[in-house]
Amino acid sequence: MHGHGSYLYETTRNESMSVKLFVTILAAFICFSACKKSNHYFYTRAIRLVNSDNSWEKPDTNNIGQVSGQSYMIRIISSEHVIDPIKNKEYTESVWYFQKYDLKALTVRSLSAFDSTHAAGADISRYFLTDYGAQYTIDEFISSKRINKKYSLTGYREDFSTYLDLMLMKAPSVKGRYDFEVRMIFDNGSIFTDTTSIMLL
Amino acid sequence: MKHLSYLLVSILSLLSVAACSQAEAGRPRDFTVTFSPVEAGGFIPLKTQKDHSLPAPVYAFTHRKNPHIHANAFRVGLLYRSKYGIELFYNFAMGTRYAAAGIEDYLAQAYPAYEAPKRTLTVARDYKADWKGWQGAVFYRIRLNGHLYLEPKLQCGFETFSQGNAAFYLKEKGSNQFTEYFVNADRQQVKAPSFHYILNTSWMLNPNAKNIKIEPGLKAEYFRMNVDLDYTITQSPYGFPDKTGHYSVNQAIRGLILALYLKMHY
Repeated sequence: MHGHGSYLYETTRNESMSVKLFVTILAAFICFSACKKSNHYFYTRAIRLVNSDNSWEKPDTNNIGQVSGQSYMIRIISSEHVIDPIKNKEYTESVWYFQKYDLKALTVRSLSAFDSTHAAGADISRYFLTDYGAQYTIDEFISSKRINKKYSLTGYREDFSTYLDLMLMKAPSVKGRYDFEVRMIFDNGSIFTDTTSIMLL
Repeated sequence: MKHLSYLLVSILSLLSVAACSQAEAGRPRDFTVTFSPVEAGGFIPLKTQKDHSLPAPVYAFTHRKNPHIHANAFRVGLLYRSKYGIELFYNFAMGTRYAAAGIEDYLAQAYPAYEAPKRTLTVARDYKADWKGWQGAVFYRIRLNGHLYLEPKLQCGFETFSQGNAAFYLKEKGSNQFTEYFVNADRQQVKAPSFHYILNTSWMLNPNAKNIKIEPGLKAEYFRMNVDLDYTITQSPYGFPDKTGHYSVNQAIRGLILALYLKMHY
């Protein structure tokens, strides 16, 4: 009788251990599922233009004063502001950041006469392609909503910057000094404008 | 093929019921059901003769050299008098990878005025080819001693071969001019028969057990399959018309598989 009772005790204890183990695994699974990356949104607060030389594999943006018209590129550096930053400033995990607002328009104007068909102040957006992993025209870039690209950044952020390159695919007809104005309009109504420094193309 | 697989599944089910009935009746069983829950190892592609008429990118795509992980599961079989057996399973995890570096080397030589080719982000960069489909096998078991078995096996199947495309972006040195270079498989999925010559060596852990016998083993397999593929290469320089070329190739895929497996007899 004593042996039989011991067997029952062992069986009950084993079952109890199994239940505890199952509950522990289930709790760990639920915690793991719940701890997914959180998303945060940002919006553009300002833009700044930099002249670039795209002669080689990577664009050169350092104090360019002269560049071939064949390899000229405008780099738009956007200052992004996070709408609802993470509360904990010590947070070190990676977080997805999304652009909150769609881009409605992006135009490039030449402030000096560009060629026989484009006088000073004319829109020459169609002469540029965006270099954003693939070569889109500006219209394609807007309609494909590539501006809404998500960024995985590490930890606590209030501000950060992104960039977009515009490649000039048609050189001006006459070698000379040129400057360009870029205007970006977002669907929240914000408008950003900046002008490149004068460049010898 | 689907009907044939249904037929084989039905036969296996009937025979397994018969095996169980015999066991319940106390008679020695003529039939034993076997089940392999898992097998895992490596697939080593064998080199094939180079076809110099093919452009280098097509050659690189169709002559894969990179070894790949091999895994499979749920192989069901029936053994008659512990010697003659048949098996059926669905192969869902065989594949290899393109030697993409071969295409990049070719592009670097073919376009000396351009920067090193960059793979574009717009096209899925799937450099993997894989094939899956129903497989049937017949085998013969040789008992070498109380635990050790040899099992020569012939297996054939009907595979659905799938592959991805590749796209490269080449930027001209000293300008914004670029060329996009696409290597596209015209048909993403191609049907083809496959043939497998297998030798299993296994060790039965509990040969005297009355219910489930467990048998881990090592599988050596020679595999061959011929696939008819069509490729289109498109060179798309910005501002100029595209240039396209169409190529047909009979791709021979041959390789060795070495894998560990677990089999259970009931």
